Order: sequence, then C-alpha cells, then structure tokens
Amino acid sequence: MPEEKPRKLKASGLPRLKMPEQDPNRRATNFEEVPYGVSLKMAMDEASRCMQCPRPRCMQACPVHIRIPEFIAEISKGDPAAAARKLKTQTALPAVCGRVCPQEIQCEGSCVLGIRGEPVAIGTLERFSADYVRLNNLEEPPQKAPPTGKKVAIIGCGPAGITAAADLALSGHEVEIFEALHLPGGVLMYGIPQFRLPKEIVVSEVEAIKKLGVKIHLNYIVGKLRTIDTLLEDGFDAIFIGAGAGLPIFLGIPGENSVGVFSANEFLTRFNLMGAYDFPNHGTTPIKAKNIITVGGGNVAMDSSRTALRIGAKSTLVYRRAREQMPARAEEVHHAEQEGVDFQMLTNPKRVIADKEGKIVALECVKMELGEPDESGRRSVSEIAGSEFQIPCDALVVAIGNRPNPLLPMTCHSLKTTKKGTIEVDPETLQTTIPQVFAGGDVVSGAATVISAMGQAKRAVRSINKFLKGEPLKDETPPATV
Amino acid sequence: MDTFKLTIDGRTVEAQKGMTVLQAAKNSGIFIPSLCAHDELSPYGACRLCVVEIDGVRGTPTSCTTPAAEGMNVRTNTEQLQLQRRRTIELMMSGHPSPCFSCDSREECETEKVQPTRGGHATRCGNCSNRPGCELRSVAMPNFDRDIGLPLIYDESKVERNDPFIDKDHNLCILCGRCFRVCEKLHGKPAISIANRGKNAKIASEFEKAWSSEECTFCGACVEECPTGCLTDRWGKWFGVPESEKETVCAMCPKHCRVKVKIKDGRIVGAKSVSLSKDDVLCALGAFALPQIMNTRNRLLRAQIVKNGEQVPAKGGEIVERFVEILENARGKILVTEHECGFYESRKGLRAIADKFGAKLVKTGYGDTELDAQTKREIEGGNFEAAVVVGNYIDEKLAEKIPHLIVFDFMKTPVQKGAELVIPFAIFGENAGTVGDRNGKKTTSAAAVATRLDQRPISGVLSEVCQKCGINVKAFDFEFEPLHADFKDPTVDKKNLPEICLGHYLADYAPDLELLGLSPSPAKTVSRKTAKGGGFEILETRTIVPNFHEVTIKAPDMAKYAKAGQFAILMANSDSERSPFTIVDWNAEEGWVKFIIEEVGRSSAEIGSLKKGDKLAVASGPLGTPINLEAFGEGSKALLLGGCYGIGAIYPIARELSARGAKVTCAIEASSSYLLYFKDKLGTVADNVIVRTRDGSEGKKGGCSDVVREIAADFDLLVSIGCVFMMKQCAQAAPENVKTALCALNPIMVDGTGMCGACRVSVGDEMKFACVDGPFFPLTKVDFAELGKRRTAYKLLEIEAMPRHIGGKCHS
Repeated sequence: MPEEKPRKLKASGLPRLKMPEQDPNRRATNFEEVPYGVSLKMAMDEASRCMQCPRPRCMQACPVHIRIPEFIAEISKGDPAAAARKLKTQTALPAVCGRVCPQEIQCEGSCVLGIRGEPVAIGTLERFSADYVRLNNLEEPPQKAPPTGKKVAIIGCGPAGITAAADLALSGHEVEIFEALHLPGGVLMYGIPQFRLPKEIVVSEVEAIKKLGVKIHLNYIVGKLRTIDTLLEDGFDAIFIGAGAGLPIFLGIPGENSVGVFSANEFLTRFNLMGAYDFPNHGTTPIKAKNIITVGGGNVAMDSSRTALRIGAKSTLVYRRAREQMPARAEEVHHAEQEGVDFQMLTNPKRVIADKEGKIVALECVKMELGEPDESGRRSVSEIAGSEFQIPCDALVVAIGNRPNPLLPMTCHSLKTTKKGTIEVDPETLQTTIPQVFAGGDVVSGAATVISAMGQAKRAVRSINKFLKGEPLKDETPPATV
Repeated sequence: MDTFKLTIDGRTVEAQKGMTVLQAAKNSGIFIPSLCAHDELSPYGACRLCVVEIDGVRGTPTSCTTPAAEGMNVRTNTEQLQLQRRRTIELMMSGHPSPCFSCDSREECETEKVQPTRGGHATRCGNCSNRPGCELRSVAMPNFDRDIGLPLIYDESKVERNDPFIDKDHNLCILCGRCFRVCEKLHGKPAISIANRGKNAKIASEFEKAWSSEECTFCGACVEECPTGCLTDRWGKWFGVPESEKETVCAMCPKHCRVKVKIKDGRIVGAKSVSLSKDDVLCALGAFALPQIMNTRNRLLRAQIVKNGEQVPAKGGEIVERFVEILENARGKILVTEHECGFYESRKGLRAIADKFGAKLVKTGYGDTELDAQTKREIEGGNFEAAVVVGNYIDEKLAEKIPHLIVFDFMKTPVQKGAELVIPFAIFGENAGTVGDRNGKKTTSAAAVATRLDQRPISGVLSEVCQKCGINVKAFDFEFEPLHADFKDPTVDKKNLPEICLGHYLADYAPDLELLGLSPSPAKTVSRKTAKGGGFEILETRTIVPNFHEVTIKAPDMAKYAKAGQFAILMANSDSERSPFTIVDWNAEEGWVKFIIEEVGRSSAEIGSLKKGDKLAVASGPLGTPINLEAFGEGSKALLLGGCYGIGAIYPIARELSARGAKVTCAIEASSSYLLYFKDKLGTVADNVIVRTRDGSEGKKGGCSDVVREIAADFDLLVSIGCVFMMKQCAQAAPENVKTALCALNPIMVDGTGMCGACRVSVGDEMKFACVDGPFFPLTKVDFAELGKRRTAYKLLEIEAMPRHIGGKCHS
C-alpha cells in the first residue's frame, strides 16, 4: 500500500449500479453471458460511490487482499487501464474473479456502505476494468524479476495453477505447467458454463501467463507420465500442486448407475469443454432430456440446473436443506430462479427409479425438516417419516460436491493425504509432507471457490519463493497485505 | 379378364392371364421363397429360390419366369426343391459376409445388441446397417438353423463412398439385379448394370466410374429395392426399419412431387417414391436430401419477439398481437413477400393482409436468393416501415432499413437476430396444406410428422392475424399456375437440381449435394475450410482387417511410461469426442505408441480415416491402472482371451507375462477368419495361440467362452478383453477355482482421468470408475448387463453424429 493517505473523497451517494442483464426468458435459451457489462460512464459513477475508507474492510475480506479502494479510485478518475494494472499486480485473473467470486460474503459483504445501504459493486468494477483493457488491447505485461535460475513445476492449469504460474514467473523462476486435459483452464474451462464465464476470457488469461514465459504441457497427467518424484529428479527445484478437486461424489442411493444419471462434472464437461451444445459439429453427444433434476445447493448445482434449461429441458433443483442454507453465490441462486429453475427445498433423494432398459424415469425423494444448529452453526436436517414422493425425470445430475482426484497421491507415497482425500499441508506455509512440494486450491481445501484457490496459490508462492532462496518459511510474520 | 384354373400343391387355384406361376401362387396365398422377383419389375430368374416342379416340364423351372397356364400341376415344396433351395442359399451365403448367421450365440447376441455396430464395412450381420431389414436373412432363416455348409469367401472389396448419398458395399451384393432392373424401368436406359463376370461381377456404372459422373439421377429407387445392405442411404441407414410411412408432397421445386416419407421416433428418417412408375420418380433432393434438410440442427424452432429493445422468446398470443400492431401502425408502408411454392392457405393469408394494409406484395421464386432490384432500392430508400418476409431473402444491411421486420423461416439465419418478430414455420411434411400440382391443379399435402417447439404453419398464424383485423381470407382465392414451359425437371437430369429453396442453399444442410455440383452458401464455403488442430503425428496407419486400423503415433512421453493394460484418450480433431483406446504396443526409444482402432462410430471412424503424416489432435495417456502381473512369474500359467479390439489389447499383457517367465496361452475369437489378426504377433510372445471363429472358418467353431469352459481350470490367471457380450460369456463360463480372473472394461468415458464418472461400473457391491480404478476388474463380479446398457445410452445420437464420407473423405 502506498504511504500517502488516500484522498478523502466524499462518496457520491448515487444508488448502486445495476448490471444490465439479458432478459431471463431469452437467456434461458442461449449460452451467451448473462450480464451485458457496463459502460465507462456507469463504472465511473459506481466508483464514485466508494468512500475510500482509510482502513478498507473490503480488502481484509478479500482472500487475496486486493487493494480495492486504489483500483476503484483509478476508475473514478476515468482510467480503467490504470485500475487494471493495479489489479494485475495482485491477481492473475481479474476478469474471472469479477464474474465468479462470491462478493456478497467477501469484499462487498464487508463494504461500509452496506451497513446502511447498498455496498459498492466491487465485482462489477473489477470485471469492468479487466474487460476494458482486454477488449481495447491495452494489456501490458507486468515487470518480471530477473531470472533466478530456479525451475518450478505446476500440476494443474486451473485457477490455482494459473495464479501460481503468474506469480512464480514474475518472481523470475522458470515455470512449467502440466495439465491433464487437452485445454488449459481447469474448472474455468470444463466446469463453469459459458453463460457465467465466457471461455474467451479464460483463453486470454492463459495467453497472458504464456506471455510471461510459462510453458504449458497439455494432455500431461502427472503420476501416469512423470511422477512428483521424477519431476524433482529431473531438475525442478519446487513443485506446486493445484490439481483441484475433480473426483465427483455420488449420492450412494440405489439405482444411481442407471442410464441418465450424471455427475455434474460429466454434465457440465460435455457442454462446456466438449461443446456438446454444438453437436453434431462437435462429436461429444449432448444429454437429451425433457425433465432434468439437479441435486445440490452449491454453485455447481446452479450451473447444472441452468445449463439444463438452456438445452431445452424443464429443470428442477432438489436440495435437502432450506434455501437460506444454499452455499451457492446469491446472484447464481437469483439467476436460476429468474430463469425458471423449479426449486424443491428440504427434499432429499432416496432412490433412482429406472425402467427395464435401465433408464431413469423418476427420482424418489423424501421431505426434510430443519432442526437445531450443529457445532458448525448449520441447522441440521432430518427426514419426515412417510413423506416419500416421486419426481418424474429422464435425467439426474448429481452436484453434491467433489473430492480431489486420488491419482496423484496414489503415485507418490511420501505425499500424505487427509481422510477426505485432500493433500496434507502446513496450514500456514502450504508445504506438503515433501519439503519441495507445495499445494493449494481445492486439492487442499476440498471443493471451494476460485478465489480461495487463488488466495492459497498466492500464499504457496510466497512460501516457494522463500524456500527457493533458502529462507525459513515461517520465521517472519506475514505482512499485513499481499 | 381371362381367368383360368391350375393346381398348386394339390390346391386348385384361380389365376389371371399374364401371371407367372409365382404370382399365381402368391395370389392364392401360397408362399414360394424369392429374392430377385419383384412384382413391378421384369422377371429375371437370377436367385433361383422360387424353383418349382411342374408336371410335364423338365427340371425345376423358376416360378418367377414361368407363365402360369391352364391346368398346370405345380409343386412348390418337395424335398428335392427344399434341398435345391438350401444349396442356393448356401451359395449366396458363401459370397455374402454372414458369419453371424452361423454363430451359435446369434440370438442371444442380437437380443443384447439391438442395434448393429456402426462399422465402416459390413463384415457380418452384427455390423450391417440392413440387419433389421435384410431379405436374405429372412429367406435363409426358415431354411437353416445355422448350419451353412459352404465356406465363406470374403473378398474385402472396399466400401465405395465416392458418390453422394449412396454407400456401396459390394461384399453384400447377391447380384439379384433388382437395382438395374428398377433403374431400367424408371429411366429407360439404366445407369447401372453388372460389370465383369463370375467372381468379379459387380453392380457398376459404365467403366465403373462414379455414378455422379454418369446418367444416374440419384432417384434412390435402387437403394430402396436392394434386398441386402449393399446399396444404402449413407445418412439414414443406421436408423433401422422405419415405424411407418406416409405420403406427402415435396416442395423443394415447383414440380411438387408426391413422396413417401419414412418415419421413426416421430421424425422423418428417409424418403422414397410413391410408386415404381416413371411419373413418380424422385430427384436426389426428394429421395436423399429431404430428410437431412428437415432434420438439420439449423432448423428454426423458437419464436422470438423484441421487447424493451431485446429479442426474447415469444409466448402464446404475443406474436399475433404484435403482428397486427405492426401492420396497423405501418399501414401503406409495408412490404409482403410470398413464395411461389408456398401453401395455398399461406399465400391467401399473405395476399389478404397485403390488400388490407396497402402493402407491396412481391413474389419470390425458386432460385432467388434476394428480392428484385427495384424492391431492394425501395427498401434502401426507407420506403417501408414494416416488412413480412417469408424465407431468407434480405440480408442484415437491408434489414436495418426496415424498422419493423417480421421474418417467417424454417432455418436459422443471421438476419433473424435483428428482426422484431421471428416465426418458425412448419414445412411440407410437417404441415398439411394445399399445393398446386404440375398442371396447376390444387392437391392436398398431408402432415407426416408433428411440428416441434414453436413451429407452426404460416397459414395458422396468418388466419389469426386476419381474424383479428376482420379480413375475410376466403375472398383471396387464387389459382395456381401450371409448371412453366421451360421448367427443367430435376428428376430427368441432375443438372436441373434446384440449388436454393426459400432463399437457403440446400447444400448447406445436405453437403453431399456439393458432389452433384450444388454450391453451399458463400459463408459456409469459408467456414468449411477450418484447419484441423494437431499435435500427435501418425507415423503409420493400416487397415489390418476390415474395420480395424492399426495406428502408430509419435508420442515419446506416452511411450516412455506406458505399461501393459493401459489406455489413452484420443481425439482425431479438436472438436472430436474424447474416446479411450487400449495401448497395444510401444517403443520408448523410438517414441511411438500403437493402437488398434475398431471402427464402431464417429470417433473411431475419424481416427481410422487419418493418413500417415496427419496429426491426431489429442493423445492423452497412459491412463488407467496397469494390470498387476507381479504374482505371475516362472511356473504360473496364464490364459489370455481376446475378441475384436481385445485381440490387440492382450498382446502387451502376453508380452510382459512371457518376459516374467509365465507360460502364456492366448485364445482369440472372431466372427470369421477374415476378421482375425495378430495371430503371428501373439505367437511371438505366447507359448500357444488358440483360434476360434463363430462360423468355424478357422480353428474350432465357437468363441473364447468355449475355450474358458474347456481349459480354464488349469490356469492361474485368466484375462478376458473384448466386447461386453464376449466378456459376459467368458464370465459365465469361468470355473470357480481359477485364482485370478480379470476383464478389462470399456465403458463410455469423457475425460478418462476420474473426473466425470461416466465410466462408473458396478463390481460386486461397489461402484468403481473404470478409468482410474480399472480398466481391470474381477471377471465374475462385474455387472455386465448394466455396463451394456450404459454403453448404449447414446445410440440414437451417435447415429446422428456419424461422419459423412464424401468423395472418399471423412467429414464430421
């Protein structure tokens, strides 16, 4: 943070900017992005609402501690390019974060303006500045530190891997990413749908790290080709694992292997990564169904149920708790409801009913009721006896979470994992049980958000930098910011 | 009419003058098997199945060529005749790839695999598109159980795909001559006939040139009449036997031919002429392109309306309400277009509103892609406040000059993005209406299938509009004009095929038309040229047996780390599917990996069509857990069973086992000897190679499961790799005391790294992912029935995705 005290600005007192969006009826039939984006004038007006707090609470609430008031100040001055430059020093993926972060519980949730009225639309402003420089070709590669001669391997080219790659490359290391799929981007590519995060943005963010000199090996499955051990033997001085949580959890109910039951990963991958909505121009077969039920209450469940609408199906969402307990981003829940997803709350799947050809025809569910909060503060739920009922359907999408893929630890025995299958790390330094190996993102935290993965990646990079310099990882107190 | 009596099989029956003995029998309900005979074609006497005995006639004449006569005494089913027919069928079968017919597991296999495998070549009934409708099978079935006595000679001639629309698999031809006889009947001088003699005889055009370069008009009659799978409609053949047929009218040119459409699952999957008379001959559009055009993904299905400056899906009555509003506000400054092939009802409606609101009415014709110059000038001059356009006649630039644009169309076009109202209409076949026949006489055209989503007949929308405006549509009666004197009939010459219908280039939706000289729209020509993405060079590729390609690619990383039993995900192009294939061989030093690609659908056909030097877009692997062979070294005995692609897949396992010192027996099975491969290669790494064929043409008759039943008890390790059916049979045959019995599963996968769960299988009581937990699982614990169902979950869509081989090239 600069030393000079930010100019005391009087907040403009304008109402919060409302992002113009595609009409819900229209967008439920296409894969185009829902919000249209804002103009410079709109962004400047919104930026003028920021109080420029001397001790910004938004920054503390951000997992990567972006200096939010500073970039907003640049926008209010009418210089989105400067705002983007500020952002880029702290986040490799502003265009992505502006779209997929749960701002309402992070930066915007802590905005002082939100106490009495509406918080500053920080996400919208972040997205605006990133889009502005991308669309106007104003992006400038940030300054790289002089080469250190050290080599770092990154496993996984998702949000954590891209963030770590950018920071490590800027620190002067030689960086190589190993990605299992045939396109870089990880969950940004296969999971989050086009209408929420256009793939062109992911492509351009990946291009940006390539410009920093990062080498990306596609179709490269670490563990099946080189392992962690052989990578270290081959001269990598450190490794960052950002392999994500890609192993889908199923419900464990009878009939789950029926034809027409999909993991959200499969359902979304077919349409996003493999372009099944463009079948048969793309070879991957789409899912043809008239009534699709999605089980779950997170962002992935919202993405799946909204994708279901877009392929022309009636979309029902089944969640065992109440709407207030849904972990999904508020905007996603709102969008899903607006577009016509039928929410069946306090409903738990019990059994998949299939016809004689093994194809799903209905989902048997039971009604649930809310009980007392448990230790975590989340209210427990219990079944209401005898309330079983059936919802007819011809496809079921299970979106109740993911676990890290066991492939990597299976091929590297000195890498310890937790009972949940996540990689065991020092919570502060993110160092794994192998000293040269660090990990971050969903592979450590289980299925979480893009921004928390990025936050962890940044912390891991700080540890890696110290490690490569031979400095102790823990001795210093971490700086207040960054 | 002259009638007379004769005796057939002891029954006195009546016949009419001019009937053949076969017809007389059929007429009285007496069945005589026949193949080449056809009621509407000249007698030919080629197949010799319809032989009979007639008192006073020497030998056994063919009833299809013998005129019936008064007082004849005919026997149709004596022991001698039955024997003769059996011999005839045996002879036909020996030249027709029919090993499935002889297979002891035929019924069981065909119940399980309801649809034939979609291979490039029909090497057996199991991958012949015509299996459900094969006439040869249906005449053979009552005469044989499966004991065909003559050996099968498969000459492996290539499937000819150099012509539009028609696949020619000459291996299946029985030379019944129906194709060229129907061609002769319909066109006078036939475009095709039998070329060469004896063993080399085949159906061909003159000098065996491509049919498209000859007289052939692609009327489809030969394909329709072919009793086997020799001549097939490339696009429609995998849909199987249609559920029903309905007569309607094709309106792609002013001739308005009657056409019979074939319907399956509520959609039109084929078309044919309503009769085998010269008057009803179709052109290539009616016979082949029609179903492709009707089913294209580019059909416009949703109605759109602009609200608050944004186009949104229109609901219920909104369309009509806005329609009327626009007309009323723009009175006197409206343009209405009608198409000369439009239904009577629609054109009446358009004329009515044009009259009521003082609109300029313009007629568009066949071949037009835009409006006349005068009208265009008027639009550019801003003369029109609103326009009702039927079809694709104005571009985006013109559309900008029309404040309120109403578009009726059956295909999606760019101009619709800016239209105030977009109304999808149902075309002929989806919509009943009145058209003019070639003489201008009004004739009805029936709806054959239901409309989809928001599709409606234009007349339906217009009649509501007229009702709202108080217009009496009846007053706008008009007469159709007869066909213009200089009309060029496309059924006579393919040069006359119309390129455009309602402003749309037809070749955009039925690309085979390009081979007949029709051009696609200028925009499409550009987008077709997209380069294939590539990364993994094909070092060598060859077809080892029909439908099986041995493909070697350069992949040094994979070659370095591959282990026996692993697979890789391959994609031919960047827009292909990710499909798993077993790694069959590799060389770390030379950096290559080898696969056996069995053609079973689009993805494998795409890879199979690549040439040496081409590049595969994606090769990701090695994947899966290698087979654990640690326990099997010196002194242990292994039995490896391979069928279809599994023959290749057991090779690396055999190699490793033998390197470990184990005694290896490989048993391989195929439908027939011409589908066996790797016999020698397996011999180099195995102590013993057992061969089984389903038709007994090589080795003992039977399959791997018979080998299991006979000798498996002596082995320590059993590994079975092949199709689900073969592995299931092996599981059933496996003795209980075998120490380790494994199979390698091949479910549908998307990523192949454990991410999607598409490949989940039930093994015992557990759910396993074949890609990471497998592919090897205990043979006797796998739920094969579930695996089979999950593998065929996309069968209908997979048909739609089948690549089009145009001009010998594989197009996706």
